[in-house]
Amino acid sequence: MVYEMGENLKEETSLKLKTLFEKLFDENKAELVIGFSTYKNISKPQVFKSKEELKSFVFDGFSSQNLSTFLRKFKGKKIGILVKGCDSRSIIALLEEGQVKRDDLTVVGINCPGMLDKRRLKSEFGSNFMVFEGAEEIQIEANAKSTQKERFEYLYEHCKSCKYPDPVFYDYIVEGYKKSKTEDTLGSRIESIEKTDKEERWKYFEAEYSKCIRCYACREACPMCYCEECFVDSQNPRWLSKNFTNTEKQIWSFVRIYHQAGRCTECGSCFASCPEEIDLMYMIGKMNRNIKENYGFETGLKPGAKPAFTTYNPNDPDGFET
Amino acid sequence: MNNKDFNPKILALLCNWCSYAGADLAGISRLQYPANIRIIRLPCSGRVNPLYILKGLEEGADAVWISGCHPGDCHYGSGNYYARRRLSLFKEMLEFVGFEGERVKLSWISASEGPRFQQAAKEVTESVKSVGENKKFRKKSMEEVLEDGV
Repeated sequence: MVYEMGENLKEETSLKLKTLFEKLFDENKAELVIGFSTYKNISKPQVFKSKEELKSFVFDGFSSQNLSTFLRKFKGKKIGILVKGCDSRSIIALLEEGQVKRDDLTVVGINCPGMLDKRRLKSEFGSNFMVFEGAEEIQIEANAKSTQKERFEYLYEHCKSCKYPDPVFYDYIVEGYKKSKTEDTLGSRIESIEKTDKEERWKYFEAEYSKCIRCYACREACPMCYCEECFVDSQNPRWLSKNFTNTEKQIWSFVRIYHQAGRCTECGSCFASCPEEIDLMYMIGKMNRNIKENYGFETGLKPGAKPAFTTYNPNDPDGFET
Repeated sequence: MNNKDFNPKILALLCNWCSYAGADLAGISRLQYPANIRIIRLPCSGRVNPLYILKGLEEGADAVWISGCHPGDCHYGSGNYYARRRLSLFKEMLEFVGFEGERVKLSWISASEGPRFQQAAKEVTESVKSVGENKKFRKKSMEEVLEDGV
């Protein structure tokens, strides 16, 4: 029965990870551990400061947040961190940009099964649901009814398209449940958007970004958004006013997406944290694909590889002149 | 508005060492070029922050034209190589969301190429005239905001 299977798998991996992190505390390899704890049946990120606090540690299908975002907040401390595929790539990118020190980190990897879309489940089953997870199937209990669904169906779009669910960089690895299949849903959606008319594309873009309330949750959730002073907060020069016009929202989106181009690992933390559910992934997905196509660079796969914008090639395409 | 009557505003971000000197040479040589171009001098084309382009368009420019030294001739060695990568991706992004890519121009003009500057200025102005006014990405005036909201 899926019920037990799901429950067991989740508990098993959580327990394995917990014992590993407890060992890190015992061996003084970590002063704090960044992981997830339970909150209303689903997990939320938490920083554990002692072995006792680890009691509430959990890893499940809702642990979608990229934990490497928190690394810079604890500079100079010894950190144990839990990583999925995307998190590990972000850490490589941060190391490459000199934002964290390798010696401070103990990286514990887990095979990511793909993260479940919380908002979709909420809209279908109401806000009070319980999910029991298996590698292939999930069982959702809500309103005194239990439904069995295919896991892949309920993953985030960027998780469905994810090519690197297994950590590429780690000190320890825990065998979790592996992702069953990959379908480039994001890529095919980008392609279909690309095929549409220019006016239609602009209309879509305008409609999406006019929803923005400029709360900057996407910036806060993003591991690669770490400027000491963001251009939107700068008072001198003051790039953006406090007005609420469409162009200002669009400038924000353009510049943020552009800054992440070729550095983003498509972890989807920005999308997951956006209160207005703006389609953030299609633009950044397109940028990443362009960088890969034009300059052959994908972030966070090889330590030591130079990010696309910090280097150049005299033979770069020049099809841009007037 | 008829295309013939339309006088676009074009923001030109020129590099100090080549294109700005090229514009200067065009001036000294009394070469006529369209008066639609407003020049801002920058140290290098690599100094162009894409935010400048967006801000220019928002504040009422119909196009932004960036010009620097020829690849390989940068005064600082490699600034224009970086600019080329950045700006071509930036343009691809604008085109992807449906904005007119014709409104962002890039060219390489050296300090000795006065006639080429004249030629390029004419070409840029003509092509912007054919695209028309920048309506998509422009700050609304107070009247417009009062009329149809932000």
